[in-house]
Amino acid sequence: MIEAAGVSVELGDGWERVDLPGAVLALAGPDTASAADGTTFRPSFTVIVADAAPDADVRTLGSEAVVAAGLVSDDAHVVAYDVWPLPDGALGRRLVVAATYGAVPVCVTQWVGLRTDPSTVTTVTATVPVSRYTGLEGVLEDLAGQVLAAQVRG
Amino acid sequence: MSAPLPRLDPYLATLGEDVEDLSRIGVAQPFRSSGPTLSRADLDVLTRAADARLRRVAPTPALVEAGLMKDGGGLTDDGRFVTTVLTSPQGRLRVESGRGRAPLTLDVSVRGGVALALATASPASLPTAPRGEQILDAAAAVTLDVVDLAGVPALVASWVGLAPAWSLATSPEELPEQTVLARVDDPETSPPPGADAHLRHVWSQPWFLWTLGTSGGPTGLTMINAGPSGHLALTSTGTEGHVGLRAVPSAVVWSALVRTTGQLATG
Repeated sequence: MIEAAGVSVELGDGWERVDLPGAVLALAGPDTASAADGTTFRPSFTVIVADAAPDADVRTLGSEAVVAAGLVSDDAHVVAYDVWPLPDGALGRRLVVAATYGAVPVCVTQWVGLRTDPSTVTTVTATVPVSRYTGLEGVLEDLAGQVLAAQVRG
Repeated sequence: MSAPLPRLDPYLATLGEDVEDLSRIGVAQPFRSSGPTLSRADLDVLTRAADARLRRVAPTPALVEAGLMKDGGGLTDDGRFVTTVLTSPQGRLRVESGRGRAPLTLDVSVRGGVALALATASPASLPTAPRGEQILDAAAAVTLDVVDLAGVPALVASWVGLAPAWSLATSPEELPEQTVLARVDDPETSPPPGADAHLRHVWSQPWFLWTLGTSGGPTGLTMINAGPSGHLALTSTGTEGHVGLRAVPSAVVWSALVRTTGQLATG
């Protein structure tokens, strides 16, 4: 059990906390074969909190995330973009991107939440090999929801 | 100074919902094959070459250029790999669609964690329904791609044009099947009586139907791509002659594609 980013996280088998400059929380999962040629990949979950302009707008932040997603890999394909509900009526955004890291097809899910007073933007990113997406999708989505709620409440 | 607001969705803005216009994201990421383009005749020659024991099968220029057959006849290593996957797959997935009178398909054969995809033109990438000889161009040639099995959901997502969209719950949720199929064929078809504003809006978008079936699962997907309005699932109902029409968020369609491919791996 670790406590970070306003939440308590019970780490599953093979998951560990790792150091990532600028991240308030970074987790890496077990290194497993994730492509037909045996290439391995570690799923990851990172939380970055940064100052935002006082008049920052989550619609702009979300649109910028979509643009950045196109840079993930040459074959990045943004498959989904949604409003993500946050506490106290605040709204965040979630985008889902299919991409390839080396030989490994991955799914990158990113949540963006904006907090006012002080104005900060929280970006949660989960990167999972597609071969493990079905098993991890719900768990990581739940964790992202807890982190965003904690960050927005302050 | 903060960045300017993005362009807002014009329909939802009229309803007081000032959310981003997502319509340009899908258009900016059309289906792209990285493999060779072959005609149905090329594929026929490739299959006959794989079956030939004593008789020489003359290669086509396209098969030689694609590195699947040798100049003097006979399969290359890549050609043998491709024909093995095509003729002895451990699983298959097929997406059927169409634009106008052009039948469009994406066929995926899986063997040993590798997937071989034969794709006609993507229905999402055609700006308009093909006419005349364009139908042949769209439907008769296929691109051949070899991808990791785990890359199949992204391949299908790209081919069917899965992209960000604001899913709108529409009413009524149960419609005469003939009316829906007529709308798929003809965008001038009027929306059904009792259609709410969201359904009338979705009805006015460009539509195409696609279905997905696999050898690994008993059920497939029957979806309508409604352009900027995203995807709608067509489902059976208890009422004869009627179908369910339900908006499905793109993230949910994506999860379904990933699960379906997982069934393919075990099927």
